[in-house]
Amino acid sequence: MKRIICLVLALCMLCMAGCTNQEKQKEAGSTNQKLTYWVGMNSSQLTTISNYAELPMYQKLSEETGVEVEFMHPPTGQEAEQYNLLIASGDYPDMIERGWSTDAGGPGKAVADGIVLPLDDAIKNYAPNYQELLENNHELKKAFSTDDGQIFAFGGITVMPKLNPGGYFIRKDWLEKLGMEAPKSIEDWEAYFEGCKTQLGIETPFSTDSYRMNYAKLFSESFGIGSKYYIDAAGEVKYAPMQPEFKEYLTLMNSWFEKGYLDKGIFSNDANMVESKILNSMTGSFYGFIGSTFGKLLAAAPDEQFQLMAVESPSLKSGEAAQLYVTKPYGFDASADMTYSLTNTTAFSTKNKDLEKSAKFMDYLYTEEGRKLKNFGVQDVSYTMVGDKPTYTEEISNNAEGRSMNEMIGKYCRATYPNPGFGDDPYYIEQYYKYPQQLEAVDIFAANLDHAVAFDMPPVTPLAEEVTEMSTLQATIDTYQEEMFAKFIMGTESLDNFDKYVATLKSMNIDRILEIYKNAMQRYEAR
Amino acid sequence: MYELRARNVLPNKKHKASILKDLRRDVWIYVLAAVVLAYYILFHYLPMYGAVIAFKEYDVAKGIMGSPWVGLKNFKDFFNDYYFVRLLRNTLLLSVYNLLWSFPATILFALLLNEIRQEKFKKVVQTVTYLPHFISTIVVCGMLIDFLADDGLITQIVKLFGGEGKYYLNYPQYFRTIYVSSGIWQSIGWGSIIYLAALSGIDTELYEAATIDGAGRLRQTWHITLTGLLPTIVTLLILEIGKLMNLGYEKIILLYNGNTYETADVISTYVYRLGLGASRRYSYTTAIGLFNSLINLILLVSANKISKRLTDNSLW
Repeated sequence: MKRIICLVLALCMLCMAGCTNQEKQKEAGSTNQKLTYWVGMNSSQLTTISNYAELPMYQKLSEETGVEVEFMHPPTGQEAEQYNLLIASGDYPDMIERGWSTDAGGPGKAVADGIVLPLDDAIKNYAPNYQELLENNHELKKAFSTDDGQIFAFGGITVMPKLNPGGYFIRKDWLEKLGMEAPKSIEDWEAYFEGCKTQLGIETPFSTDSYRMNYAKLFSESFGIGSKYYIDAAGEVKYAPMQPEFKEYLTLMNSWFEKGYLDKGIFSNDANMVESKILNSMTGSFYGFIGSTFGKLLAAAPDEQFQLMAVESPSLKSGEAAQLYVTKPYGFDASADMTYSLTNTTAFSTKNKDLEKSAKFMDYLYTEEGRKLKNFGVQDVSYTMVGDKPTYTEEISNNAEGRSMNEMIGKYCRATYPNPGFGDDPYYIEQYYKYPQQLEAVDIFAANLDHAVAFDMPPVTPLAEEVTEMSTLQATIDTYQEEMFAKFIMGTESLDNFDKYVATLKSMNIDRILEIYKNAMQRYEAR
Repeated sequence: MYELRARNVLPNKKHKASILKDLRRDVWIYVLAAVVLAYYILFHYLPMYGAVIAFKEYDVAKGIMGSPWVGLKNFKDFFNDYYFVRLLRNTLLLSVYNLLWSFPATILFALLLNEIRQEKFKKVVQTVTYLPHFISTIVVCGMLIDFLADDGLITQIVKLFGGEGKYYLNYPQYFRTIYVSSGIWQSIGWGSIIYLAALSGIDTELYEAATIDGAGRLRQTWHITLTGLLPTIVTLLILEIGKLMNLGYEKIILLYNGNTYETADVISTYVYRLGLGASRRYSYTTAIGLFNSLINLILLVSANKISKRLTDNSLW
């Protein structure tokens, strides 16, 4: 018995010792005044570093600003859960970098809950560069503000707004075999498909995976609508799957499915299956992205005959201009040279130890030097200047160990994923897209950007109490819409029932969601 | 007086002494048990407190205590859900079909294995049938998607027997068959282990006696083997019934699509889409989880009761 008591006591002592040790460490941490910075790290960076303290970009940033920072990384892939735990613990780090806009209630709620500090004063006093940037770009300021008009974060700026990364790709060599020009209209596409089937004996002229089929703007933009919720040219919130144009779109897709133009497995394919079909010359065209899909396929090309090219979004009728659904948010005109990215933005917590230092640290990223630092790393370490163009070293652009450029850039700086500061620098794009076809694709996809008729919704925030209501409605609507979408295209449900389908959507209270978005849009515009 | 007191104290002391003796003798066994007990208290009983958020509108910033009470609202929301009936039906049907086919299949397989006299052949069969258990679900589903494509392996075989060549995963009427049969393939070898262990415990003298009495193979299987297995079968069956509502969502999520929601969308997949969407509705999904557990508990208790009455075998 004594021994058991001893053992239990010993265990308790151990636990307590462990706890007090931790406490001590914490105290020590706060006395040397290092600021804490909570940020998720993407998996490709984890292959080269384990903490941002090792990143030359941040070492240099600390050196330049004189601000020491300690990074805290949640396990990759668990950022959302870990953030919730962090908040539940009540022990907030000084700076938190994450996507604030997708939270229920948006960043405004985080401010109201006393988690995030409004930054207006700090920016005015200590961050002159960021202040100037936002003053000159009202759309940026709106995106980084709450509905109450308070700035909540240091945000990401995309410098190349004409970048429209997703689009259609086609087998160039087959096009030449068929003696055709790059398709410009739906009619041209049908001719290409027919040619593939009858002259080349290709069973599935067009393929994509189930996710993209459901969520991408796949051919629907030609009908002048977006995908799911979008803003039309008049600035109104619309739900694409219930527009009358959507019926025409479904009719076309259904006929393509019946004629065998579309891959029969379009609703069960995953991205890898599509890629293997393309590489094995089983399919002649697909929807994808310039970086991930196109770059990967060009690198994997089986022989010289295999040639891919990007083609612009088709117009509905030959000779007409194509209508575009752009992921560029509503409110920007085509000439704007930057837009925002809210994927990862840095907010200061209410427990921030030193606002001045924190703001100074972040503000550096919005200077010309900071822009180079974030996109290219440290001069003569990860890049050299060739003329006025920062050029990645050989180690990065042509790695001897065969590591990808994405991984190698991640060893030095944070250019490849959206985060605070200027991203998608044209010089970076130029080097990151290794193949000339990719750079061509950038221009081709940007061709009709002025004809945009549908836009992504800006980062509006429904009120906290509306969010629960919305998510219940949305889950039902999504389930129904996805199900009917597949059935209409495969022909298991007749398109005569489209009106009934719209009526069902209305009975599921889609109008309430649209109303919530409309109100949120109004609050957004008033920021 | 003195005697009385002594009488009162003495047995007590003896009793205490025997407990102490017991503790001292088996101290390490108690330590081992304490660890397990601590595990269950820490990781299974204490977290149950979190289930109160099913009756609240949980908000991370306010914490479990600070979130407002909403009573049964989350449950009502679920029962009023447009898809509630379909989800419940799909969950139960898929579970019941799975149980009806794969449970007897495993037993049958164990019996067949038991009849094999050639040790080497038996070992090979066992190893081959265990293997699928070690393939991760995502790989199994990837194979299924490939095999069931219009030019896939299984589709080709179906075509040989005069079937149609199409993407079988796109049609709701095939989903349950695909789910259940692939489940059998995955689990039959592994599931049979426990029966084989029980089979080896059956006294061989019983078979000898039966042979002398003139019982054939089938009779022996029926009267000796199955009877010997009955307690194991019943225990496992009760446990399976207790899990009826907890259909694993991983495999379904990997196999279903909009076309097959009609038969494939179950409670857990719906909760997954809802709970991990943009707005994480912890309270609502907890309420659904609690509802599931309640049904499971009722099923488990009633299955146990029925079995007690009919076969005298029960969990408690």
